[in-house]
Amino acid sequence: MNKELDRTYSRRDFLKITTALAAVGLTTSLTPDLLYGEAGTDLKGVTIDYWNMIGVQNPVVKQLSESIIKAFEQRTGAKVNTTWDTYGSIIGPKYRTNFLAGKIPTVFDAISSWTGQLRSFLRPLNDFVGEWDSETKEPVSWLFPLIKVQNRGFSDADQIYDLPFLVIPQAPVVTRLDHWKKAGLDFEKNWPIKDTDHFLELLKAFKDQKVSEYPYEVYGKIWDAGDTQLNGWVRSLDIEKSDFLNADWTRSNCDSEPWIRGVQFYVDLFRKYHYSSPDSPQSTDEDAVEQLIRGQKSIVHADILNRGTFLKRIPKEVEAGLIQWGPHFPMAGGTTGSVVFQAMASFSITKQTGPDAEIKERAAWEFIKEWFRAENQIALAKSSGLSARRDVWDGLKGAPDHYIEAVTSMLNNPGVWSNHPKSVDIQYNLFAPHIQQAMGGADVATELKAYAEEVNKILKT
Amino acid sequence: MIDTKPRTRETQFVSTREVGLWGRMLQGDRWLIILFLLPTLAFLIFLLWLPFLQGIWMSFHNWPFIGKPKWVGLQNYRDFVTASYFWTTIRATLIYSLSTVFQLGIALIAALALNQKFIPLKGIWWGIMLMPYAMPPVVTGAIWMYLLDPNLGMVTHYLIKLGILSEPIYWASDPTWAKWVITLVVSWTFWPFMFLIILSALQSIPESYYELAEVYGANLWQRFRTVTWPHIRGAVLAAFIIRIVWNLEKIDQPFQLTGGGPGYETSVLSVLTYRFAFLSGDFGMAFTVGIFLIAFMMILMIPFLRRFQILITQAGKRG
Repeated sequence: MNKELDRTYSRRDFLKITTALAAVGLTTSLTPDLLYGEAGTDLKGVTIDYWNMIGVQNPVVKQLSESIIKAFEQRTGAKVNTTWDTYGSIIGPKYRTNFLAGKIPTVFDAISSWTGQLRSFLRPLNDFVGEWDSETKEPVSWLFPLIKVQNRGFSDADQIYDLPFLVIPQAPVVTRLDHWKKAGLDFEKNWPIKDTDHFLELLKAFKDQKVSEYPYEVYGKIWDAGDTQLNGWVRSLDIEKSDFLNADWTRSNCDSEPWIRGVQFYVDLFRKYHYSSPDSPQSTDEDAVEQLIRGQKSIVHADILNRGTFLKRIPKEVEAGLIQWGPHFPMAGGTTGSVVFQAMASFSITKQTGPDAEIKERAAWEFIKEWFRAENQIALAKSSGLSARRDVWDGLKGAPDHYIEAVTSMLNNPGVWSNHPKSVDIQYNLFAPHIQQAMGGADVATELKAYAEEVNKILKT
Repeated sequence: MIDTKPRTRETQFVSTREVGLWGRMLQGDRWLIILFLLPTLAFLIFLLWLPFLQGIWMSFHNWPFIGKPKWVGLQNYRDFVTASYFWTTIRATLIYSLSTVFQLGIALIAALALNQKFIPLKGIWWGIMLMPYAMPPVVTGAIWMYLLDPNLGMVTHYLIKLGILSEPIYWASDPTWAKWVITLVVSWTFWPFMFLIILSALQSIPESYYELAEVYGANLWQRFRTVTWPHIRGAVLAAFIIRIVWNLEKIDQPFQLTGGGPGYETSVLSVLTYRFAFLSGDFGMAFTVGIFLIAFMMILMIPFLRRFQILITQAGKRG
């Protein structure tokens, strides 16, 4: 048990957290009146175990998490035992092993498409959501149909097991204005990018003018090949086939024509046009962001979680508008009107047993509600993803890099990756080697066929 | 009083029957020997053989991390052998196993050099030589990742500066380079083990043997062939066999350096086992690949084990 949480908060604790957050322009629900007032008693004596994953994103999000946890404890009198975890724990064996061994948190956050493997341990949240106040429920209700689509292969797809609190539309583009000037390009006329043909013209200009040797990057590394820009391009060609799996999770979509076209373009950016570096089969969006910061890239696709890197590395340039975010764009000829897949950071509550099961589940729900308070949603949106609550978006617009405008403009009929129990394997472990082979010169259609066969085999078992 | 009367075959037989098997095993101090053996036996049975046998059993199943296992017979073996990456991973494992040869080469040269009388400060040299082995493999892997980084690494920087390279080598994205890099990094990390064994064997050779060889006019190569090699070959063979097994089961550095890619080009059998077990949660396939790994090791080791056996027999005959 975390001893730090087993005592009342001092003025020093409060100042430590709030000052650190204020330094980056953030405030949360941990306000002075809450801190210095009498602690709540609704849930006094109740202890919940919380496994935090979002905190791994960057130090600011970790501080935000601490702040929200403390605010909840003060508001309710409950205690939270926090374990700071990483994405690797749910992608790898740690969560599965612990859950099977009975070491289960009361509540945890994760990426909602990765929790299918743990579904039998989770408690449906529909009754809690049903009694939620409309002021909070209404602005997040746009996500409920997406949760259903994400879980459509399960017989109880109507049940909400994962409640998204942050969304990560994949993937906006980010560029540096000085490169446009050097390439003789008019940013105002050419931004946002219309389609992949327009994109190729821009990249050609950057390369021909020797602004950057490899102005762009496609990602072959296991965690980025299958969840950055590629699915959006496939989606622009065919919405129904754009996910890795078909609607009832009985077969892979990836040997279909839209996939072959999408992946071929992805590979061509590297092999045919040479707009992407020789290291593409092993590159990541984090690497590409670093190279953009150093001026070695002109445009890259990157999820908005990378915004923290820009703020940390080149805050003055961000403030001066050197860095600009823009929406993802369709393949040339892609007419579906949708180009986005959306990752969602979500909360799940596990099934509790024993005499205090009900009160623990209630406490976990109250804890989740704390994260949905408007001030916390704004703070999270400024530091990590896009808040689940739509009602706070307008207030976030107007930043010099226009990141909120870019990502909110992408949310026209977004897709979501299936939450199949084997989704991590399907989307990442099995997919990346085939993309890397294609980047190495193998035939795209052959690789996708081999990949689809591997996935189909998993689906049969 | 000591009974000096010789026992007949008949009396021995009778006493055996009377005492019984357990009695015989516990006669005299034997119970103490058995007691000392018990922990090792328990370890071997419960932590090695039973899991191994269970692994073979699991390889005939679809055995998910969560959920009920399902008998699939030889399906996993069929799937693995017919997988598009099967020969890629076998080829990668074969090249990777060459790291044992590199380790032997470096270790033999280093040990012979440091065993010379004229080398000063031997203790310091030994310390330096052992350093790679003393560091955690993940640390040495990280060091090499940085050194060989195409954009930031020192190695690339100096090779370009010296005109040896015209542009960086993106080794992690190139199947051939990636395989050789993991092989060489593993060789560099683990060669000191062989160095230690060979050096110990060298130091056990009496100096008088060399003096005698010199008296007979033997040159450096002849002294090595007739004095040094016969004395160290047993140790070299033992170290070689151990390292083949240990190298082939290494996961950390290949996984850290390339993640098994590009494609499956550096997915040596041990990495593939890890991927199936801990990333895919498919224990049936993981154990199937594991059994292939054991078979692969056996094929590589059998000639060396036979040679080792012959050496032991010869040594026994010499008394």
